[in-house]
Amino acid sequence: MSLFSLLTIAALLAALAAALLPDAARRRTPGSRAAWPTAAAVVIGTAALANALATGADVAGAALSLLIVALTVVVQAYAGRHLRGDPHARAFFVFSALAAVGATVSIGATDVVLLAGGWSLATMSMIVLIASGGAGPQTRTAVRRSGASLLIGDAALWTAAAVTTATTGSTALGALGGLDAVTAGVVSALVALAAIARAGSFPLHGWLPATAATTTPVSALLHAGFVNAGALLLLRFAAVPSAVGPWLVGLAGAITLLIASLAMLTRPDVKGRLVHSTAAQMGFMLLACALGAFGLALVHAIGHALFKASLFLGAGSALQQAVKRRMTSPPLWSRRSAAIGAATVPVAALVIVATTDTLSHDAAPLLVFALATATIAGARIGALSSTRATRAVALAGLIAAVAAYALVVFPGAEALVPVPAAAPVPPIVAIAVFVAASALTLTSRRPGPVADRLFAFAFAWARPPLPTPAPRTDLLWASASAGVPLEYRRFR
Amino acid sequence: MTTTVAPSPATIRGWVAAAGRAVSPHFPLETFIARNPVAGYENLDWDEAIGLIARDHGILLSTSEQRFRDLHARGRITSDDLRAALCFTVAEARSTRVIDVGAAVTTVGEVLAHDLLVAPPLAARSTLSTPAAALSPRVHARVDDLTGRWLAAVLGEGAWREPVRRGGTWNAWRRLAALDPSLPRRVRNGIRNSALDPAAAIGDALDRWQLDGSAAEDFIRAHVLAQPGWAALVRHRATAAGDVDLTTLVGIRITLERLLLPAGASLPTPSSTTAPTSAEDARLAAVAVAIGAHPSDPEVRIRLRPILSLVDPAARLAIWQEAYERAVARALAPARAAVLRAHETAQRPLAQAVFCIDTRSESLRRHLEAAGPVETLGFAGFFAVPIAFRPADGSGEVASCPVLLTPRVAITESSVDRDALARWRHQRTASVERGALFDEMKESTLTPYAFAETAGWVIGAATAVRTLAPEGWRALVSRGRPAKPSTHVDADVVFTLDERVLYAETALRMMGLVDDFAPVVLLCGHGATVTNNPFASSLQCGACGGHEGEPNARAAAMIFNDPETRAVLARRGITIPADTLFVAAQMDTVTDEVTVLEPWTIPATHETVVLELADHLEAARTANAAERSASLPGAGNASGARRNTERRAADWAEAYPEWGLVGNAAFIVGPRAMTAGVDLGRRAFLHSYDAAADPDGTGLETILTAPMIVAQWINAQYAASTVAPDRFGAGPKPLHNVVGTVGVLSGYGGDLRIGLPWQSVGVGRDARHEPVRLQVFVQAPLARVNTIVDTSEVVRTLVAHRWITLRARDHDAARWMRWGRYGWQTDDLDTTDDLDLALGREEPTTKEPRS
Repeated sequence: MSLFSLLTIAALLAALAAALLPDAARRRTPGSRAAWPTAAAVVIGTAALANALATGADVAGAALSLLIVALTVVVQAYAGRHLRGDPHARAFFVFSALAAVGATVSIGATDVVLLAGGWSLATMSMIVLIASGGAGPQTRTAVRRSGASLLIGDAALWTAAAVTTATTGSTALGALGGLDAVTAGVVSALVALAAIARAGSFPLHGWLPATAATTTPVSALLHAGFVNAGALLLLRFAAVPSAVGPWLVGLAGAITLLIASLAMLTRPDVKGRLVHSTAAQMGFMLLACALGAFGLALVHAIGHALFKASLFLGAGSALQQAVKRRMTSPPLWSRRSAAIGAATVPVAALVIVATTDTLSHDAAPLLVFALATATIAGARIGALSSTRATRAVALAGLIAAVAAYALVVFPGAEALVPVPAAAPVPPIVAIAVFVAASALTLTSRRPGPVADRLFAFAFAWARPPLPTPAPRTDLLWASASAGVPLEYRRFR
Repeated sequence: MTTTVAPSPATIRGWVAAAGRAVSPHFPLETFIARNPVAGYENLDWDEAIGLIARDHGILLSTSEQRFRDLHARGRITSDDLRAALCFTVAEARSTRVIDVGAAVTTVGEVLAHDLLVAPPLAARSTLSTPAAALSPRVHARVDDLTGRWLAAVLGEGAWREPVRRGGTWNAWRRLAALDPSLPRRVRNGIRNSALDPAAAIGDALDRWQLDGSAAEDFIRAHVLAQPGWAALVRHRATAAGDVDLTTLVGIRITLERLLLPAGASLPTPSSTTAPTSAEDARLAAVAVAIGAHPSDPEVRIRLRPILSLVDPAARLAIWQEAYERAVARALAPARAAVLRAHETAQRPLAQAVFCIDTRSESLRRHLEAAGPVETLGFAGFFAVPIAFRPADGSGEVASCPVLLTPRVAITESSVDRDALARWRHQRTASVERGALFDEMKESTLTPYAFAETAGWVIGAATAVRTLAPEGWRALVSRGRPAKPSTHVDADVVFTLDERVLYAETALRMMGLVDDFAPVVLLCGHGATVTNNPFASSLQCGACGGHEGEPNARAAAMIFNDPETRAVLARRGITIPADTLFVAAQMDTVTDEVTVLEPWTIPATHETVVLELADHLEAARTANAAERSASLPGAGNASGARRNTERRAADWAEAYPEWGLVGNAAFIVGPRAMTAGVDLGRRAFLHSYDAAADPDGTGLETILTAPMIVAQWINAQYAASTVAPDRFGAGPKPLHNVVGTVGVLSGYGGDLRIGLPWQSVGVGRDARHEPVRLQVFVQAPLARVNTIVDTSEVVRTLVAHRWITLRARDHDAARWMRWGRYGWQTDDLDTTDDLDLALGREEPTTKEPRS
């Protein structure tokens, strides 16, 4: 483990200790005491990333590590004000710091045991964080469900670590390339399972929707810094010479992407939409990993983390936004300007792609998603009610973004994470997923029995049941604490 | 059971409607309306209602007896107050006759006083049970879950909602639930074959369970009350939009229940309850021990039983509640003047400022009066102009008046500065279009992946700034916006002269402002600037239907400044001097900033006065912010209070932007002189009133039938959210999950949360709000108050059934009389002064017969 990782861990442990101190003065809260040590961790993380970029060392690890500590510092600052008076606030600060320690350990680890140890520390901390939503019955369901699914993943990872160590006689990650075919198949399948559980992907998808029953800051950490750890795990085990893992990961990712994105469209509640959105996005990330495009997966994981943290923290604004949307009549669509807007993007993109060698990359099929996104955005921008000049500028910006994506981000990410996958799935899988996703969009827009069936399926997808009310053995105790919200009562 | 004639769908609909009265309609969260969540019980005495709510809802809608006893032990409820409350509620307790109970010698009052302290407390337990709750709690939870999800889909706003909306709620449910892969095939077939009308489907279930008559009504009631939040929302929706009604909700529930329970299941026969007698025995024994008698002595039991039967467990709560409220009433009752106060003819004040009756105005008014020669008045924040408002930015019309009224006209905001107006409008359109683009990109099966990957980096940076420097972020955002142009409202055009005169005269006579006008009269509405808060509208003006009071203040100022209106008013006896200017303003209840709304309309003649007034408002703001923020969680030192309040307004993480109307307890009607200079701690709604300015009493009638009712709604809402946070409150904010514009869930599903979040009434495990019933103090001729109570059913119901406490006095120097069961009676609020003895004016118990 590098010096930077050790320093980061030390800073995070200091934050943890600070949060544990008793509240002496009136204004000092666990959050305010933990703020400075965590901020120090961000500085160290930034230095580590700069160092990695300069020396060409593990950029992926340094970037993810910085993401985790930066998210922790922002979400802790948010929670300091959002969880005022919450009896579980201290637990939030302690275990969010511990989860960051776990993540940093597993990212910085160079051997499988340490990696699995950090991974499990993060898992345990996250389960406690989910439980900090309080004593409400839905929160308890969330704890039970996430505990069960995540522990399956952790058990798989520990088994993989044990198998590797027993076979190669070494705990070092570098020894993975030398596994024989059967063992490699087993290890890669187990690691795939761990990544799938973390990402809330099919068939271990049941836990993520239940976590809507915890506090907003926990959700922000969970969706931004926790579920995407599978990408790093798959990257670290990329050298395992077996196609079993990539195929498992690719299929799980593809299925989840398709169904969860449809389920998201049916959800009327803001957090319900966000959890299914995360599941779909993680499906995309797993698909990228399966294709061997680790650089792209990493860019996606970080971009999505920042995106989703913001959406969760701002989830309280959903109501005002819905009112605002409804109070304004929808803009008049001009088909012609929409078509012009939409057409400019693919034409420009084709020129870009034709003149460079981007297409030669294995993960190039994933570019169709970016291209489709840009085309739809182009159509909408073309149809905006702004002046023609404004629209032209916006379209130009969009084309520039496409160019930057195809020419800089895509090859750049792949160059910075030069880890070849031993056995990626064929690129045609990505094209198939794209076609299926397009078909789903078209079907959902055409009212009729097929759409109804699809709706009923998506609406029922991964919905956690309401817990059965427990028999009231605690009546006396409960009535004594009446007048306190259920969520704030003590666990029995 | 024998076969009975099946009830008709109309009968069933009637039963459902009757059952629905157990919950008040819940207004969508975008226009939060605080009201008694169980207003349907207000035609019962308070204690009777508490008992019935305990049996229907299974919760205690009052402070628990243990908590009351705790408050008594800690001295918050004094023994004197408890004794007085007992004597007030139970006439027999006043008797001084000594009775022998076994070895002990005591009085009825003493026995009952012991009973209050030792009797086993009332356990709230619902006697209503659905078949599923009785047979299989698992199925019950499943029915709750499926129904809740369905209603959320119908009433919320999913991106793909066309299948749910097609063909009406009941038909859409039958079509789609029959395809639900999570249901067994038998259930899906049953749904497909269910009746075409929800009432007929309910009939089928009644038939299935062999229920009829009152058993059928209880069955329906149990289903309505299984998820009171959804039922309350559906009740509102049925009248507002009409796309779903309570019959549909019950139809869905009982069809699912009928199909999910095993086909052969039959209802358990209700077990005969033997509990009451054993509870009575325990109570008897406890009281016997407390008075020092032997609990098993039959003589003691025979003596005690009739005494204890005077008070049932719910009545005991009523006594405790009364005792609890006495200290509050004493603290908030306007003091009695030594001599009749002369009409003030002092120097003309710099300004008169009219604030909303909202309890939050009280402290700002106090600080403003201290800051300079400014008189303040209290009036409902819509200034008696019931309007709908169309803002200049092109957003839709909002009803800006109490929900008791329906606006007949819409006021439009516009500007002569066409270019600036166009820029202002375009800014809004562009922002809505950007939002729509953003939503379309993130909610699709194709686009969110590349979008998150690219947009995330920008949004992530914004997130960090918003969190670490909320005020900086707000400044940054507002810098990018075009300035709002000078606008005006068209209240002078849309209202006829007659209407304008009517509104103006009503308002002036109601608040007693008919002469001695100052050079400037500030009409100050209020609003609250908050960020990322679904409950924002609960902090806005209740008199403006959960919106800010700006449009009403502007419309009212325009009417009062209208020369034609003033001319007619003068003929009707109210002469507004030519040099008096009415100025519209708005107070931000989060930051205490008062903004003049139309500075461009201030003529040069009044500029200095307005500037001077602004100075006083600034001083009042600083003092008020310091006073207020000291009580907010996370408060800093007083010197940073103003900045702290600004941060709270801009901060998207803040759970406590302000305390709202927490602590509200009294509604005081009368001239400001009687409360001036007294710190009421933002616990009182203050309505200005001067009996002399309102010769025919219509002003007082309006006050008691409109603002007072709204105040009672607010008071009941805060109390219910405090004592029953799990059923009538919305729970902690960090768990909230917004559904469309209608409300929040706590978690991924379950019942819709109604009422106020815990962060509005408490911190952590401690409640901040004191749940007391509204204490109304009216200074007006008692005969006038009598007439109003007699003629207004709504007021009589609240007063006679003790949902509010009404006290009145003729003038400053009179003592407060309280409306009791048998007419006006004296109260011990001002026993501390010995004026009565000095004047030899000992009051009889009943002073004046009603009407």
